Amino acid sequence: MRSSPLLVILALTLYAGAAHAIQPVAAPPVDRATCMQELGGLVYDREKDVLAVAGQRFMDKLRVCDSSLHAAAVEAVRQQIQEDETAKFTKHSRFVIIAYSVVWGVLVATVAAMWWRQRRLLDAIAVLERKIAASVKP
Amino acid sequence: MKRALVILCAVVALVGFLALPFLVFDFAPLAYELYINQKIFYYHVPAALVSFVAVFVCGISSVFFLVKRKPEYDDVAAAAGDLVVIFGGIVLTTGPIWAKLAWNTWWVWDARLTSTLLLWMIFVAYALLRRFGGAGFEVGGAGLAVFGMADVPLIYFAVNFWKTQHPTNNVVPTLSGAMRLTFWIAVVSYICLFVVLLSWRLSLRRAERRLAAAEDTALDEGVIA
Repeated sequence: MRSSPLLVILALTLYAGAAHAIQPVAAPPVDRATCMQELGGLVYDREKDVLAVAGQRFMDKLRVCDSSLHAAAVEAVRQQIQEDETAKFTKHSRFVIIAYSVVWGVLVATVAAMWWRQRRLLDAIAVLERKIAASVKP
Repeated sequence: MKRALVILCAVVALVGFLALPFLVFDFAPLAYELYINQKIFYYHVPAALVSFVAVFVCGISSVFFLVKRKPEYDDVAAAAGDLVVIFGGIVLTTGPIWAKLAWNTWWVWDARLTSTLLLWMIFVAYALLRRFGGAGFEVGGAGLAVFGMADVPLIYFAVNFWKTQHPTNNVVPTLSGAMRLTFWIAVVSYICLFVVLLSWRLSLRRAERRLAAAEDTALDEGVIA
């Protein structure tokens, strides 16, 4: 029982040591000018690199050099993608609507033409049959 | 029975065509790899299928007419021939609109597209000759329709025989549940519309014959000069 306080002290010491050990090591301060120089040295080798991987490498480096500029670049790209997608969607939607209008237009025109032809035929038949009936009467 | 079938088809076609925009845009999921232009598929492909059905109805009726020489077969052939022009026209207008988005060009002279255009032109010629060719063109028209029918397998298998830009015939079996259901509702709607239009066109053919008979009687009676 006398060793209990010693055990508590030992446990607290171990916990504090472990907590200190898992804390992330603070990144060394970045010299912006040097970092930007390194950023400028990044190249895209189309023979070795995947386009998106090279771009991601650039963005990762930019974030390290200047997180504000990185955020601005991400926002600009996001906005550009949104504008491109909106333009694409609008164009495609317009074409889809035109295609459907063509289908409906052709079908409505067909029905209208057949109805008009039917009316003309039935009128002509009625006129002739009336004339024939009148000529047959004494 | 026949009239009831036509009325049923008319109702199904009307309901189907009114429901299709909602099914196509809300129910069927977006095919991301093809983007929203894929929605044209639900009108383009069923129209192509029904135009093939119309070609076969026209061609087979023409064969029967050539063998038996009964005017009823000729009437069915002439009515179906007109519908090939209409449904083929839908295929040949919605197709290039889709191609402009998917391929960035309105038209390519590949085997599928060219043979489809050829089929449509054959049936435009058929319809024009039936309309303006005068009496006696029935037999020649029947021959032309049979010739046109022979183009259908060529169109269908063109994507297998030749390297074409047009998708293969394996698209429909790969459709997901909602897409497949929407597609088959579109097909059924188109087929019902075809039955209604064919029946209506046949009644017009009968009216034309009745008018011709009335004109003959009127001439005989001296009612008209």
